[in-house]
Amino acid sequence: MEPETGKDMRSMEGCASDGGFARPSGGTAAGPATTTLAIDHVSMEFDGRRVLRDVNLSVRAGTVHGLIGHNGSGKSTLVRILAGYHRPTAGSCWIAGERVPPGSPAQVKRLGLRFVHQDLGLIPEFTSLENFGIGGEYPRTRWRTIDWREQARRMRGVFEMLEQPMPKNRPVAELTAVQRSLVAIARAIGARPEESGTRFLVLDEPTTALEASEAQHLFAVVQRLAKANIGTIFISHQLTEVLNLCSAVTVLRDGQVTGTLETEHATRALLVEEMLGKETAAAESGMKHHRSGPVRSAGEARPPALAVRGLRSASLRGVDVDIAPGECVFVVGLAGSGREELVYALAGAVPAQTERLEVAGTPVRSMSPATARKMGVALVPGNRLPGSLVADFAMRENLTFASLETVTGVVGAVRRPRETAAARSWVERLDIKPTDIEFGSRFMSGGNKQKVVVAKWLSITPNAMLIDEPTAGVDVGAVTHLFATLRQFADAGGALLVSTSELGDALALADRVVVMSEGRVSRVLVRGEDEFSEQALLLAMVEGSTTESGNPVVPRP
Amino acid sequence: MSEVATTATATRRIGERAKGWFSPRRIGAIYVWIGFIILFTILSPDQFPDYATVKQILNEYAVTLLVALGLLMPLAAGLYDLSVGSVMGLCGIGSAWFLAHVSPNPWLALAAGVAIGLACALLNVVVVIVMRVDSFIGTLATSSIYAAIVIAVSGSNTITQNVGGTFQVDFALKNVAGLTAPVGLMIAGVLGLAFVLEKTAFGRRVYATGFDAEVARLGGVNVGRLRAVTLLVSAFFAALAGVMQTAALGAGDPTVGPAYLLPAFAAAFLGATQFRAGRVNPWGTAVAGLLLGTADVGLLLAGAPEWAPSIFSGALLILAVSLTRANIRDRFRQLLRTGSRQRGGNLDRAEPTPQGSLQGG
Repeated sequence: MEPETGKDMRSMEGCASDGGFARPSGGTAAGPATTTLAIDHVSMEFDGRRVLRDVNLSVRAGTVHGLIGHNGSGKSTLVRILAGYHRPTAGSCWIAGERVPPGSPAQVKRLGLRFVHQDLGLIPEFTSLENFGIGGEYPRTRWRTIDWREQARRMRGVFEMLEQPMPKNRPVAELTAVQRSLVAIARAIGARPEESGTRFLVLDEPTTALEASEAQHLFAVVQRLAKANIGTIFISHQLTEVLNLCSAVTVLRDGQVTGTLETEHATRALLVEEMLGKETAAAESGMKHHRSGPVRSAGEARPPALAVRGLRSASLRGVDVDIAPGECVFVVGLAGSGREELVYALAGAVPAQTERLEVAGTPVRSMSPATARKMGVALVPGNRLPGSLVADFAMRENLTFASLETVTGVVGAVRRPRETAAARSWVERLDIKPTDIEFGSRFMSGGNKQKVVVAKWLSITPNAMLIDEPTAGVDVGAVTHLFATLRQFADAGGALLVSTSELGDALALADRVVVMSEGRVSRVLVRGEDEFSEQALLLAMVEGSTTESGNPVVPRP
Repeated sequence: MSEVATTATATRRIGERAKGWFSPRRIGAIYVWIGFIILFTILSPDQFPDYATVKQILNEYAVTLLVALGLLMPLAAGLYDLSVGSVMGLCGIGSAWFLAHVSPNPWLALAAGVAIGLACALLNVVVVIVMRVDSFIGTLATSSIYAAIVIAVSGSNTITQNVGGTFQVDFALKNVAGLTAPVGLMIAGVLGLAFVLEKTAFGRRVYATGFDAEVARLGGVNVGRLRAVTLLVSAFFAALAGVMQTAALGAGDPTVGPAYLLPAFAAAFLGATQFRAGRVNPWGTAVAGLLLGTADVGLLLAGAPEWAPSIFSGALLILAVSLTRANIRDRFRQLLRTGSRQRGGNLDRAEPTPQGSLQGG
């Protein structure tokens, strides 16, 4: 899996010799005239797994610095280290030559480094002014009550500096998405920079929730911040944005900086190459000849196990998907592509509308989880997601929960011997540990929980299984076993639709990979016809999110 | 060789299981109960160890237990029904009013009381299920309405006409070995609820809904309908309790009802710590109710002041629930997590969606 062992060794040696308290090296230190935020040889390990390797990054005051990388490349970890939530295993961060004490959010704030996280962290029921005050010092009146007038003045000051109109003092749930972002940014800055001491701002995927026009608004604000001599780290998946807005871009891949480019000299193609690796250049030319074609076993006359046209929901804008019996389809997509919602919308677990929906040839007018179960459509949320298992149930009760009818007798009573036998047989078939079926589900390991979730739904012998993140939090051994089970299910004529952020899973199991972006299917890759590699998938995901036209691609004509 | 080993393991397993069965963690209330019986026997050796005491405890606490048993279904499904006290009061006064103004037939009066209870349940369902008002607040509000109706109907007067006749004879005086109708209803209630909650698929779904409504929903359970049924059950039990209490008093007393709410919840919660740790269940509730009743009667027989039993049952409830505090702490943590997830999720969406926690690089 890892062809980069050589590189590994080198970076580890580098860390060892530098030790944990290295001074900023010449490359990252700046002159005393300009303030600099420097990340200096930072490495991070979780449980022996190396997430960041010797990361260097430096941002000058008054500039916008892009940070890009695929999901899992280590961006979030880096942000958390900067914010003081994690202590890096090696290396340190510096602001204007002063070392940021690791693991101390308060000190980070004192040094003038502020954050706007992806979810903004606003309280929907609080007004913009109330939200503005969260986490900061409140101005007090003579009677020690909060001086809201003064607070409003401060907030107005920030918005004037940003050259944006002050939002109405209403609960932020009623504001537009971009206004909420502005409130979060204003709160991070706290007051006029000269008063609050804000020197650097980290914006973690600030445009994911925004429409294109709203994003423009935000860009103007970021540029204003630069004029006010605040340095910004701008994290995004949208390469075009990054190219237009930032003066320099650092690319992370597998926890390493693959390069820092001046955007004057950078192109989108260059960024993609840095993000995905050199091999992709070849892949890219191959992808140009993509076409969607028939899937395997075209001679089969059976209707699709699941066919949907025009599926719409909060984050889906008309999705068409067919899954044939015996077929294994994976769905991939960047954060915000609608990938996360697809399986839930298909099963009617979130509000959604369809133009047409058929299960094994039978039309379904309106889908709900109850209808789905009756029609033999199983929705399997990953074991770490809400809705997968009842933690307070014994394993037996979870295993039989979806198929209680099969173990009940005439008067509606669960027949315990039958239930026990059913549970035991699943424990054996999926090699679930511990083997005691009365074991509390709460105390099971991630991999075994996931096996229980899958077994629970396999036991209704479904036509189609819709699975979300089957391998999140699941150890390697259990993954192998799970895949074998899923493959077996498909080979026996079951249809699989798996939504995942693990591209390796898709490559291992999928007959067809559906790539989503902007709430639509942007591409379909078929095993045996299209190139099936991590690079190809990544490229399809990134391309989908940056191309202007999002023509929906019908998986099969 | 191996056979011997298997037998030995089997014996050990049975031994372990038996030890588990009798573990104080599992049936602590029974040990406390036995302790009380011994203590009160020592304190009042002439009065306490007597069949009359048994009758008194059972007959008096059967009504409380009926209310408590009714609470189990909503509690198991994750709902608080705080209206059971006033529903009980309304059904009690309603049956008395029916006897006085419509017909002296005791069975029709019972039917009338139950019908009133089910009508109350329908209002609860509208408020809690249809209008999605939090059950704690919703049933608190409806209970205030029911209490008001009691005053309106009775004019704060006790209704005695026809109540002391065959009605009282049938439901409060006729007895088997000194045990009256409420005791029979209570036993039937324990058995019925034990069957439904612990043996049927429906019961399994009720528990699942209470533990994790999202799992139940995604598992194909119609959570709203199921919870509506549980509210009907709690009102039904409260109605029976109301009618029985009116019969026991021989009068429709407008002040009866609300006072049963707390002891009933105490029995249900204390019961949840017994037999099936963390799960409300009829067996535990019955034991808890009888334990509270024994302490109540025993304390009074021993000459304790009238306020002593209340202090005692309050303290016992706190103690019992704190013994399973690990469980509660988990639940609390889960609650906090759910809260932060909703706050952190997409603000545009009215309902928290399963993938809310997924978003984020």
